[in-house]
Amino acid sequence: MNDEFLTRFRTTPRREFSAALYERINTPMVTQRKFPLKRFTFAAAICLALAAAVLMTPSARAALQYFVRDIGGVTYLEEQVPSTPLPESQVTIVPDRIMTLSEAQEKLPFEISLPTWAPEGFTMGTFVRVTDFSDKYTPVYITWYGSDTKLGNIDLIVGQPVKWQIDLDHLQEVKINGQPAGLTGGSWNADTGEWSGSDVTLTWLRGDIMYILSSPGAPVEDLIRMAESIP
Amino acid sequence: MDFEAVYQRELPRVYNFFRYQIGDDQLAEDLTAATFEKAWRHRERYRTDLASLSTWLFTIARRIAADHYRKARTTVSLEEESIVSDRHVVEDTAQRRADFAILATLLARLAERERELVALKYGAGLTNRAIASISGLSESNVSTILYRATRQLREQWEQEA
Repeated sequence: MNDEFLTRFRTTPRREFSAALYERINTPMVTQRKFPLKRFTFAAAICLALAAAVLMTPSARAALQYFVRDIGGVTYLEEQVPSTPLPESQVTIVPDRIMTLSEAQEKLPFEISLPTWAPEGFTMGTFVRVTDFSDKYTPVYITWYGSDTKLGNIDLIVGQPVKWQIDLDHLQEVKINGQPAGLTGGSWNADTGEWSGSDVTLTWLRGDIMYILSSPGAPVEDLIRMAESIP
Repeated sequence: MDFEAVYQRELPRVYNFFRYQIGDDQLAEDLTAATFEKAWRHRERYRTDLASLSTWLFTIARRIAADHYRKARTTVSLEEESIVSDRHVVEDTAQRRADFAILATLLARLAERERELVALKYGAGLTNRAIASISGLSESNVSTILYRATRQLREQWEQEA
């Protein structure tokens, strides 16, 4: 008995098994991250719906102006949200695609600029996610993974500008390199229809591109410093 | 990441790791599926600066194998494992399959760590360095354990044959 003898029992997995497993893994690939996507899709859908109303109907525009705020070119909207969760049948899960940053950069119609600084203990992930909400809105999600579970991760979302659905009571203006940016605490929970959570989110425009930097536990000062490090 | 390429490259290695570990093709398929499903579910946790993709996958596979043994230990005795192997021999008379059934029985008699290292080396085809990285042992420790395990296998094989 030698090495060759011991390795000769290796076999190729059955083709049926290999194909079935591949298909099984790929199917949840486009439907997982259900809650965050649902929340984001929900917010984006409301944003787009309200944006259409604002642009198309003068009366609707007048009625809604009280709920609109602009900071640094980003429009924030507030509208009453349903108090009960949307039924699954009414929720569209938008698939995301996992790829490297360079692959994403090749596919996206805008340039992705990254922070040159991140708080200690946070490491940028190997892969990014790209979501095709529409031809005109394809955000890329980049995550810095935190070593301290209490602080969580930091997510950077880069994409074309959209009007942002938030609770205006939790919005304040801050400066990023002297330019105005929106700082919000919390987020909509599409399952409960309520504004909740401890997420801190910075939103600002860099040219024509919208940047969103968010974390459930990283200090605001760190997020601002990280945002300011984007060249 | 070209997932399809990774899948094609790593699937046979993970599958054969389980075959050598467990000695049962069907179970090896189930545990391989569990490994890839878990890896894909948690792919965002994979960090290139900490481990190669292969090392990360086999770390998951080892945990799944350990879970399997923890659950199986109370229900499957060594005697039953021998019966299973014998049944396989009867059902499939191909010499190679019969030989593997004997080998699987001998592997099952090894200590858990030795069996795992043999499965990583000869089933998955990993280098001693990669096995050291996955198992947390030194490379020389891996060599020593593998030498001891293969010597034991050889002696028992000769007795069985």
